[in-house]
Amino acid sequence: MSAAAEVLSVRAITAGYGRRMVLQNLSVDAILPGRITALLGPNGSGKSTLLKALAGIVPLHHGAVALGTQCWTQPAQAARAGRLAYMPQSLPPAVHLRVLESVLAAAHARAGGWTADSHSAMALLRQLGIEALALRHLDELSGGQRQLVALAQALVRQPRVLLLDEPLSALDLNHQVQVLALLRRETEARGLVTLMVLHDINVALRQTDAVLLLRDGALEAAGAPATVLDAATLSRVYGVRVRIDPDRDGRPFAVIIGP
Amino acid sequence: MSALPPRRAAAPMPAYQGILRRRAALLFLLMAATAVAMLADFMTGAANLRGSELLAALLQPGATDPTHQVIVWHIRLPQALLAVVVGAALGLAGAEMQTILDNPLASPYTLGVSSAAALGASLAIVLGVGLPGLPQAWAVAANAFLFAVGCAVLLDFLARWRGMPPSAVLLSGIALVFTFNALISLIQLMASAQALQNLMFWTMGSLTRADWTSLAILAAALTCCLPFSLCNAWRLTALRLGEERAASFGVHTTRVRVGALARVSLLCALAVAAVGVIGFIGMVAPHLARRWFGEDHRYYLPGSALAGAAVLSLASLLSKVLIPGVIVPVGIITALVGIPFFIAAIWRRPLA
Repeated sequence: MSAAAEVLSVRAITAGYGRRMVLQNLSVDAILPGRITALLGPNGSGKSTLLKALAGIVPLHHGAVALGTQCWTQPAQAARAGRLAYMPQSLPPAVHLRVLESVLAAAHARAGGWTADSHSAMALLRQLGIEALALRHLDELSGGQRQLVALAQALVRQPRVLLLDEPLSALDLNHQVQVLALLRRETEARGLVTLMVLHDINVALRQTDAVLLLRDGALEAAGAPATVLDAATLSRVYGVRVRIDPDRDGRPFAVIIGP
Repeated sequence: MSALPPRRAAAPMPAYQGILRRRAALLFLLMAATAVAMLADFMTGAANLRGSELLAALLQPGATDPTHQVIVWHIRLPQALLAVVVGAALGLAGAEMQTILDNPLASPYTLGVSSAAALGASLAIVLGVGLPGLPQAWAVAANAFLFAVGCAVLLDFLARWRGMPPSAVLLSGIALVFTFNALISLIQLMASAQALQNLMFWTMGSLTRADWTSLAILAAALTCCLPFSLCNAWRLTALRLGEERAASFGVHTTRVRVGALARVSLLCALAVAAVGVIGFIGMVAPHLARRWFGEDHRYYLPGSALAGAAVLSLASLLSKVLIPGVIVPVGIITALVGIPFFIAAIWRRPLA
């Protein structure tokens, strides 16, 4: 692990909107760099709120977020945005802006100014396999394409932490596989803390390194995917009957049997 | 299988640089067009002076006919310059307003900021209501500014804190226009004949009272605002991608909005203080700029300012030649030119 790699930890945070606290005294000891961590839980369990609280978009009522030696209690979001990149669940809106320009805006919005490093933004688009879209306008792209642009907007800022809210939901199978492979590569090569909300249990089970399972704003379980996502826990949290079968390669596979 | 490599579009990077070069060229073209329009505006007027006479009065003050002197230095030149500066101010204000309110129909005119400024001004002109301690000469502009700021803050409050959708904000803005206009009419009812004449100038929008002081103030304000606008170009572009996304990029969205609203209020109030209510420039110019430059605010903002300058300069020219011997208030011309754009904007994007 490189020296720059830092652990993200959540220290007893309480956060929410207005007076409604979605997260209650939630702690996560260590979300490790170089690993993909999945954030799972039923609807309304606080997954998106946790990401926003980490990103500093939702203020913390109590507690703190720590990355390496740095510790944040206030939503000093501009300072935090330099280290943490958050990708919202919604797609970038269909405005009359070229893909490259929207990525440049993501890269330069914090510092302001006038100039732009279009070469490195273009290199990133090439890495993501969407160089051909660089000069297209956002309002002519499909949902999946805009999702890839959103990912480019997160990666272009060279963050230490990637917080992704359902990065796969708008993508077709081909792009899902591509994006997962890319996230794997970037996470390992750059030693990123990658935390992403997922809905597909099998993607979490088979493609991630760790799982955080939320329920009613509290951490239900955390650890290796195969340990956290057992049949009993899934049934309890999601209220469905689940069987875990090993597939031909011996890797676990969740089969939903019924309600 | 073909041995040919797959056909590819032009490499994106050179193509992008080409786009940037075209945009820069277009900006220069707009500048040239504005200069030509301004020159034509300067050359045209009720006194049919020849080009050589105008040039002589311009270059050799003192050596020419004093009447020509007055025409050139007190009428033609300030009017032609004011048309350009007011157009640029309203174009820039409209562009920023459309971005922060996320609405292509937003403009100082359609959302009531101009009417609010006119109401503030009419209070000062007719009733002498103003800030205590300010000299009378500044009361009108100060009132216009305060009312414009109040209106802009109210609109931002509705749009953001109450979470109103853009169409509802627009309708509220239109309601504000009617309210302010009704109040202005009420004040007109109470006004003396002299004050009434002054007021007419305000509500119709006219360049005929151009003077060097208001020109200098507005030009200074524009010179101060433009660098701040351009420094915020990337942040405003990011804001086009949505509030939450911009915040996730590290943009302090509240600060950017408040700054933009302050600039919009200042430019709009000073424009109204100088020439009265001139409609639709603040909507037409961003519309043209978006079509020509896209929404990269590094080009969109100066593009909109230049488009506003060119359009108002042309409108000023038109106001002198439309009816021979009569100078039609330029606000009437811009309204007539602007309405087709207004309809086109609705046509392209339904209000819902």
